[in-house]
Amino acid sequence: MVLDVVAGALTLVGAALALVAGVGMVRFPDVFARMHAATKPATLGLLLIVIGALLRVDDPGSTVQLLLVMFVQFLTAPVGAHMVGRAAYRAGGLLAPDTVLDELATALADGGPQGPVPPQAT
Amino acid sequence: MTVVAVVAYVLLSIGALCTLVRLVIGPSLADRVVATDLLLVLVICAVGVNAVHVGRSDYLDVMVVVGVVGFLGTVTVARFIEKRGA
Amino acid sequence: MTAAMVVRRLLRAAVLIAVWVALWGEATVGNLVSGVLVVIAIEVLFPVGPDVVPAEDEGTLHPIATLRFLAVFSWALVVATWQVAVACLRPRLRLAEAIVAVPLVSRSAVIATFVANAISLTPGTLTVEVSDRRPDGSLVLYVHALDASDPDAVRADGRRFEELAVAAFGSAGDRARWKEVVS
Repeated sequence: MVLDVVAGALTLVGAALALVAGVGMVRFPDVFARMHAATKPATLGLLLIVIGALLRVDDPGSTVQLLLVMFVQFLTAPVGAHMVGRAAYRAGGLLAPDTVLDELATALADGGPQGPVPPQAT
Repeated sequence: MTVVAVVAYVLLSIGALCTLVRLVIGPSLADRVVATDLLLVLVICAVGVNAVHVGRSDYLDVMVVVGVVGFLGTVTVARFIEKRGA
Repeated sequence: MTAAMVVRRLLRAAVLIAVWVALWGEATVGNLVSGVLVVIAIEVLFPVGPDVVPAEDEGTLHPIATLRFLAVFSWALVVATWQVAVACLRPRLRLAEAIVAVPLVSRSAVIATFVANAISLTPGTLTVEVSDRRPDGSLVLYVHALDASDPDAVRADGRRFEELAVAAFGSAGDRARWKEVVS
């Protein structure tokens, strides 16, 4: 019974975080900020829902599958965001106009098409 | 538990609707692929809510498959953007 | 092939077979056999040779340091989600975005990957690009930050994760390099 309540609470918080992710997608001004909104709350929300499901489902096979889902999401969300971010940056023109600081631009300007040359100072 | 499930589904649906809005508006391909990725994660969350509600594990395979396939799709479109522009 | 390399390959194969069985949900004989076949096929078709992970980058796993890494990382994810949620739901959006260069000390691509992923799941930062190797072999991560008021804080976060990651799975060379930097 207590477990059910905890599972329910976790599910609600997880779903609320998923809603936050959706709202962030609409409100943020450029692609990169939207990726923040799409990865972090969604991953944590899924984590909470999966923990809720772990509390409610009993057999060991399902437990392992749920853990696998969590694991896969943790590994793939940042990598996917990184790849899209990299491609979007190189495609150009996608940073919000009020971006304050851009150290990658100077590095890319030095390095040319094969990749950024990092700043020499540590 | 049914109440919890209904509320959770409603929250997820509103989030999915917002994501759909972004999917349609764009303006670039990168925005759309991020929106698609989030939409698939919301689908996985919905299957999870079903598991919490029903207490059975009939559809867990869907979660794993959608997660992996969503990632593959995102990476593929990202590489496309890199080659052909957003 | 040295004994250490054989042990590593077997461990890697065991982990992959475990994942395969986990995907199917039950540990039956059929799943195990098909798992072994699939893993053999993977090892033949996609070998992880020394060009992917150079011998000097092979890390050693310290279990307690790994747990610390995972704990810090999980807590950072919670804080990150809270910050993003607050930023999303504020009535007036106030973001000052920036892309910050975060130089790493270690030369290993594996450490760079772990740190990049950890940075992506932590407050306000998302790794966007990795540079080519500098003359001394180390790498630089380029991180997109939602709030640019303090770029050095972003670099400090990156270094903290790198320190935890090197302690958890760094190679001997990277650990030595970190000791020099810290002292």
